[in-house]
Amino acid sequence: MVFTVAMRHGDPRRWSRRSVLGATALAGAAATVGGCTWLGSPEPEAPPPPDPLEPLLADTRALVTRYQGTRTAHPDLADALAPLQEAHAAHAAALRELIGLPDPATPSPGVTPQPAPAATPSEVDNIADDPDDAVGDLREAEAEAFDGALAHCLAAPADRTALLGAICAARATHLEVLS
Amino acid sequence: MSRAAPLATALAAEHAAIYAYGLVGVRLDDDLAEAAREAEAVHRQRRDTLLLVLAERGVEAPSGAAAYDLPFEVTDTGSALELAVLVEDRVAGVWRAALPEVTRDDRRMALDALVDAAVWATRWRRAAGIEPATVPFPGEA
Repeated sequence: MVFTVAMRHGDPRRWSRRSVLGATALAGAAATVGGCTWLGSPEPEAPPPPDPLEPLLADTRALVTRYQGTRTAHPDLADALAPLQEAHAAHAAALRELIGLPDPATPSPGVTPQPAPAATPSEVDNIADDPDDAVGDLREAEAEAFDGALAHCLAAPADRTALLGAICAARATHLEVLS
Repeated sequence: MSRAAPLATALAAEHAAIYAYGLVGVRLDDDLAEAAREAEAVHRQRRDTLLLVLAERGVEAPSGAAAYDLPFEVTDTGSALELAVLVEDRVAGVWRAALPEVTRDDRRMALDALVDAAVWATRWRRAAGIEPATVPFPGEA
């Protein structure tokens, strides 16, 4: 109902006949259904469209899992890879907050908290046996992730670019230390 | 014209970085000296691009200072690397802050500059033996 509110803030003398009729119709629809409908014909409330950053959030979480799997499969790499995994986890938390999704760590009352996903055996199975190969696979994943973050940063509204730019730059630094 | 302000701020940061690398370079040898020259060239190139962009838009470009106050004296390899890290972190911060302020056409330049500064900061941390060599959010104060 933002439409009708905006009308009321305008100069009434400049309202066209159509906009006044439209505003009245919209106000009527709001009174009957309480949702956004057109001329009173009831429509099921559509879910909000997914945020354009949700795929980036999913990819970021997948990177966290991948690092966890690699560190589990190759304990000698665990310490060196820890800061990179932590960075991706921090990125996921920041993206989740930016998108406005609930924090999985603080569930609403009455909801059973889900344990944080650890690396499952199948995820560890996907990690290369050779540590150099495993790091090479991470490098490939980071390169792809860098391209993804770059594209998101270039396409995003201005107010999201600082975070997306930092995520993009962090991924570039990960590539640097994995080389 | 207000849209040019973040680029003028970035130009001032690039001037300062070029000055700092002059001090860093003379304290480093061999591969590290070569790396410092390479890093300095990145800042010189970006400075030149910014000078062109601001001139095209008829915006007065800040000129570099003859000298800058440094937070510590650069006397050896260690302090040279420390200054290089500081410079790249600061440049990253300026470009990250510029990102939401610049027009969409300038966004790619700002993002590339943030990425370059973050990567050089990481290289210098590795050279200095600083662990971890990465930070989660480059350019964050």
